[in-house]
Amino acid sequence: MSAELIEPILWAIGMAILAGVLFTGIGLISGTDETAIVAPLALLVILIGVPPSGVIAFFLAAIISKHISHAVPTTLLGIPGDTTAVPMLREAQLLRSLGVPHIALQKAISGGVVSVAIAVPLSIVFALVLTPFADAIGAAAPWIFIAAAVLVAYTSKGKLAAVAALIPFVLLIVGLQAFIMEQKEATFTTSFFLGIATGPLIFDLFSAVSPIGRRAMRQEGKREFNLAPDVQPSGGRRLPNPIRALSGKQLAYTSGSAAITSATFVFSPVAMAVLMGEVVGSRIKNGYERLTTVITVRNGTTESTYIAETLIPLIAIGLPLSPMAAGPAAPLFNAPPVYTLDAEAGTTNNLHDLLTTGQFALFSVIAAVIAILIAYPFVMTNAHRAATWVMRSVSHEAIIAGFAALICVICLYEGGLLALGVTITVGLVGGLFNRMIGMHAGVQFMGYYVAVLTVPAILAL
Amino acid sequence: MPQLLEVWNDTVDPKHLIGGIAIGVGIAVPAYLIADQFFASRGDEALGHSYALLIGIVGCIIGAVITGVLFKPKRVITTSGSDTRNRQEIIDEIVEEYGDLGDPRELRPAAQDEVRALGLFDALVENHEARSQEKGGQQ
Repeated sequence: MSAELIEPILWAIGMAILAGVLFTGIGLISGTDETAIVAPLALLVILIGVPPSGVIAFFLAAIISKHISHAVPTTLLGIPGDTTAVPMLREAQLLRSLGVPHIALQKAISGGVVSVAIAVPLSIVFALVLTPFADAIGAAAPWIFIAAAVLVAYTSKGKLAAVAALIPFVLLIVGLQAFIMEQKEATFTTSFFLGIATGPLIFDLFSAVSPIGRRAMRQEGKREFNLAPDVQPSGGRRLPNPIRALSGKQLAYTSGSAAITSATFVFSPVAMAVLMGEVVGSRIKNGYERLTTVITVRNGTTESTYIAETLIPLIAIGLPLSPMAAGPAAPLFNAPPVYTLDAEAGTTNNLHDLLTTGQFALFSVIAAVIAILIAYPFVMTNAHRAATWVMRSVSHEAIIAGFAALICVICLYEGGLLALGVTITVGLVGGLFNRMIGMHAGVQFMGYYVAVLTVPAILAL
Repeated sequence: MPQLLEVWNDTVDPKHLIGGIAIGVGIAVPAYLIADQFFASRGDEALGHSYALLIGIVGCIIGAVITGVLFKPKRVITTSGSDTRNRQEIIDEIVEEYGDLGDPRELRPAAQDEVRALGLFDALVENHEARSQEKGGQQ
């Protein structure tokens, strides 16, 4: 190993440990949406000046460990840990009523680990296959983005309404960018991303202040959560082994769906998790086996889609051409002034240019191993205690307070009060579209790229 | 009892929420601005800008922790003991929603062991047989 690799490796190890610990904890908190949480924190790591190896390791370790520990609230409390945990909810609840929540948890997280082991190498292989076409894809990017935006919008909950809402949303961004250009002779990126990612929170805060909105948000008394009983696995708690927790069939199905979903990097992770679960479920006759296998496969898919959708566009193209890359992973592609993506010239200066494929492979493996070593044994042995502690001690007010402060600080950092105004504007409109029309953050991120890539290309015609 | 609201998918007390945001923003923003001024006055503006951001983030964390200590969660946690109903009733309910859970005897030995270790083997066999008899009776 060459000497100049030692420092990046140490960065990768350090940042992966940090992300592993942090996101194993965050995953325990139900409803911590990936885009809203991972994107701002990844952005932060980039802006502070962590070198590329640390950034990629931080990001991968974050999503891998979060998608292990998000199974804890999903299986023990019956509330989804985050957006990708939603497809597992039904199986989790049925296994919980059967009195075996610990089996649901064990299967889900073991499926996740197996899936990581398959998705990391396969994503790199698929990226290499795609690399020769990168220039062609880059040249066609403005048109690919608008096609992708329409497709992602149409497959969102809002269907045609979300497609139509792209027009006002894109115009809003174009207008804001023009005004910012006039005032500051620069463009903002971060404040737009933050607005999109935290839109539902910003919308809810406005709504809570309005007397009309407050009426709809009222809650009669405290919300009740029913924690599943702490079932001790027979034979005590040994040091867990993900492969032994799965049957041969489960191992095969999880590996198969991880391999397939590593290639389908342009589709939404939630949609793929639902689809893979359905396909596998339809092939298993025994009901009990179907329940446990579907939850295994679905959680596995949340890992493989996230890894592939980050690594493939990052290694092969350098443009955020996947729902993931345009969502939680957005800062890895574009986080000025550190990483930039020049819309007009079609040039990039982001992780794609700063790391070689070999380095991507090395740091991804480091991140995956560390994230699994932190999250898997912790969840296996402490799930019940941790879930109880989070529910009893971590108040939602504290989480919102932290995020509100984070939004203010990052905006002031990017462009003072104007940037804060941009985030609030985009957040309020985006949150409204999200809540009322069903146009989720992924569609809005695509809308952002349509505004900065496609609109100039159309005007140049 | 204070009026509770659902904000960002969980329950909060609006007064506590306003207090929490005031604490978070009130600590983090001044921390960032003062740090930024301080580093700028010492030259090296670009790097100082990043250090100021880092200090702002530490402010966010401190603000969130203080909020967490001051305001407790608005959740009621009940730990259900094991369901006291008859096991067959519970399985029936699941079957109603999901379809037959099947005969565990047709599983591979390893999977059978898993079901046995969970104490579900006999219950599932019983339920499956009762169901196939019912079906047989109907035909």
